[in-house]
Amino acid sequence: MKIAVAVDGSENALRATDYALMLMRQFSEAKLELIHVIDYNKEDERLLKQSPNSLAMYQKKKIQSALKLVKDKGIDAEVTMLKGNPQQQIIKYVNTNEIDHLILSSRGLNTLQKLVMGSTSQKVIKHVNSSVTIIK
Amino acid sequence: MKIAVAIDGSDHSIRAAEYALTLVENTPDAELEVISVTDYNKVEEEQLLLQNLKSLSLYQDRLVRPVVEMAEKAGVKTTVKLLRGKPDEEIIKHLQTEEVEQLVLGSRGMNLMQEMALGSVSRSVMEQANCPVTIVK
Repeated sequence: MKIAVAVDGSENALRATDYALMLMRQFSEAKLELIHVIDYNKEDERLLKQSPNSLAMYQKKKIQSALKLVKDKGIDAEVTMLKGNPQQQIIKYVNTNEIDHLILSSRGLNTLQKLVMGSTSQKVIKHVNSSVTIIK
Repeated sequence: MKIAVAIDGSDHSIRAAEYALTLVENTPDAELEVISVTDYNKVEEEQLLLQNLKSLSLYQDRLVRPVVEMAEKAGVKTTVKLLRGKPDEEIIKHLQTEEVEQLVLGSRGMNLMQEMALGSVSRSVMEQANCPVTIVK
């Protein structure tokens, strides 16, 4: 069984990681994977594209807090860094890598934000083949 | 710790129940709550049942029983909550009044048209629930 958590460096993503760790305790043969997607459509992240080195640093930083949480529990996690549109990348990755359970955190957008930006989680839930848990 | 699963009698919801059951079995002090909502707006048999309270409870009982039996076999403490009304609204209301720590739902796998026409229960529950929600595929 493969459990994947989408991590973006936010508080909510840490809670999602916590939940994944809880699942890991219950399914003894499970493997944990942390996924971070860098979004080139976001200003600051686009700048990083120019230097592969700073990009790697940036992604590492985003995933660090979650990774620490995992290591503190003595669990080995695989880290996957993706680039592109977060929804598409996550969907593609989950469907091609036989992930059994995906854990997402909700950003807590209000109705207007949702209309403008579209909710990442809704789209992902619809298109992935795995079960999905949304952490609030 | 209460783990709730919403049941509508479909295969998807049975799979959701199986997942919820695994969670309960592996979590100390956890109990399972089986929620079933009868939707009066469904034109099918459910509306006919409205006229007769006894047949309504029989109908709900039939939906919930396979899951309750599954839970009993696993030796899990189970409560059943039967609600009436709009499924998403009732489930959210229930989540707010009772301390449910995790909700498990099945996904009906609707396409865009169906979703626009029928409205997706899992979607609105997910958006408004205040606990983690798992969608089992």
